[in-house]
Amino acid sequence: MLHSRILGIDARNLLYIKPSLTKKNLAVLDNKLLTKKSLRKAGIPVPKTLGVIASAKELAEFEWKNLPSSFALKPNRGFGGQGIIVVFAKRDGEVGRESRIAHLFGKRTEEPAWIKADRSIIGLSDIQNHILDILDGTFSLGSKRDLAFFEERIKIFKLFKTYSFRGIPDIRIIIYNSIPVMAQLRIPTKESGGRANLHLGAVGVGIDMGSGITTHAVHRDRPVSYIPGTQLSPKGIKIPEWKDILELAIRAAQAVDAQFLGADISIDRDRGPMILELNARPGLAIQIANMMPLRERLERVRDLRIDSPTKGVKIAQDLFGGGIEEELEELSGKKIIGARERVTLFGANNQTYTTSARIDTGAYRTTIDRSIAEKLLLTTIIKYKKVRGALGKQERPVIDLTFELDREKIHTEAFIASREDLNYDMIIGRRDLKKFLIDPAKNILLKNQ
Amino acid sequence: MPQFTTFLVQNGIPLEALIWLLITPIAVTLIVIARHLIGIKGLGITTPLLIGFAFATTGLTRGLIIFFAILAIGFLIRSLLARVRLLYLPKIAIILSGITLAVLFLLPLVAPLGGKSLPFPQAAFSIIILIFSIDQFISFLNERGFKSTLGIVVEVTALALLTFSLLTSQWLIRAVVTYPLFVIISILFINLALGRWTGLRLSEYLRFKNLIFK
Repeated sequence: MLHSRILGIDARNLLYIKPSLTKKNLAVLDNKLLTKKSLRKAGIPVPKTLGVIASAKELAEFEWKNLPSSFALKPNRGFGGQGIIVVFAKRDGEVGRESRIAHLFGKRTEEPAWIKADRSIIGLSDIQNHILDILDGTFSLGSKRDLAFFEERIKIFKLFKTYSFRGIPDIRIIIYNSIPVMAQLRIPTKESGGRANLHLGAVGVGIDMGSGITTHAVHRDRPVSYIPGTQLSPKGIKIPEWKDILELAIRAAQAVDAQFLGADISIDRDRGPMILELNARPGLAIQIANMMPLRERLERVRDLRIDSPTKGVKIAQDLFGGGIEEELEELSGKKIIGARERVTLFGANNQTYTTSARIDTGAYRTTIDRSIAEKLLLTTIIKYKKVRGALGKQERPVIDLTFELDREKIHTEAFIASREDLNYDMIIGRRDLKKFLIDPAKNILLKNQ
Repeated sequence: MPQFTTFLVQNGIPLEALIWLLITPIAVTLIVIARHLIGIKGLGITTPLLIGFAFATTGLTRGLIIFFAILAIGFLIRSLLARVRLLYLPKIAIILSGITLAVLFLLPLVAPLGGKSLPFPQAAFSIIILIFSIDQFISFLNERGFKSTLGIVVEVTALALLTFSLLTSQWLIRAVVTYPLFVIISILFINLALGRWTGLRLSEYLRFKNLIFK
């Protein structure tokens, strides 16, 4: 039953989060600055921290001049993307701000101001107030007192610019036992206010683990074909440096010693992929974005032990790749086969013969070697046909043949020829390939015989 | 009455108190079932349970009116204080005081409803429970916004009504008085089973319907 392969919140908590997290690594994961410290130590790229404010006193003494003109302001123990302010430029010159009290005395206060991600203007005093809110614990887990910190703002990668409403898309990868099990691209929308969190209204797009190409999209737990409010389809985007991104996620999970987590990766225009955040309790809508149940995948890698990140990437791509292919097959109603395929032939004597056949779109008819025909007693010649081959004009016998290719039974007329000097004892021609699409990159490892 | 119940009653525990104590684990278990099998969260176990008990003391009509009045006044005062910079606890204290004042004016209007007079002093404690539940709702509102909070109010009310209906069910009262030990032991086993639940909640069947019926 499919629904038992879907990961629900109770199974996530009891079977995966709880056994995976010790008190120690939960303390690290729920603390963004500590997480970044562990990652940096392991040589994993993270956004630079530009400054930390721990108290109202530190806020009063903070040197605003040392901040670059663009930055992100975050609560250290924030969750679900709350309390984050991103500014992308400083307003030129000092900007006058109408302070109500100062106005009463006929004064205008002057203060620096920045332009926020949503293009509204935020003055220094607004930012200071926001920092006080952060320190009070307004945005922290359990409303505990918190730290505020400034972080380098990630510059949007060109490919993503078209799709994203102002914010920066990121890639969420769920890692279990050092193996990436599912991934999605999270695209900020107008509704999410430029933030990449799905519960705020961002769009999640499933990513095929093998190819790094996006598949299905989800918005507010519903499958969608377009990014809401646009005519843009987020499907079919090829994520660049996919293998490196998977490897980065594995190394991050290993750096904080977590068996199960969600890694959020952003691609900076200049610095490339980096870990934005690690999440001990990754959301479950990723299953709708991929149209794939997660629990089944987690079960498949439960007992695997991986010694190197590269191996983890390879296993993930082999085990969980191929979603794209299935979708293409569904769309076209045709199966995708490689240039070589395993084929089973059925004989007149109820015997079968299995071999590797060359898929040959240059030939019209399928040809089998004389020895196969003899083995299977397919000797009733129904006619002779002239062929123009590499060896000049020939007349070849034609027989009735039934074979199975990719679970598809095919009845056809095939040539018999001497192929003992050739690599394949069977070629399959166009006549019998009408139900298939051919991908030369598939089955390249399949041995000749 | 079985020996166990008789023994307790003869040793100074009023039958009513015994009934409430015995129904508590049943109500708690139903709240657990609502959370894990259905997907109704309702601010944990304590809040809906206590509100249900408060309803049982004040009577349903009066309880509901007081509860919703408290929520409305609490959210109103909070929005008035939104622009004032205050630490969380003093802010909550101001809201609680404002509500208390408003409830004092409301009580004379509400008290005559529902026939019997309000059974003070128990009813006073019930009203205090209702007032203090606002703390939970406001911290939820701060974290999750107004729309989610409306949803949680509906969920908490539903669970409180469930608790209320258990406390006032004559059938259940007879059952817990007659088989007190059986009730407690079976509750124990039900929760051992629920504690290992890793299936989907009813709400998750809805959430993942596109994945299930693809």
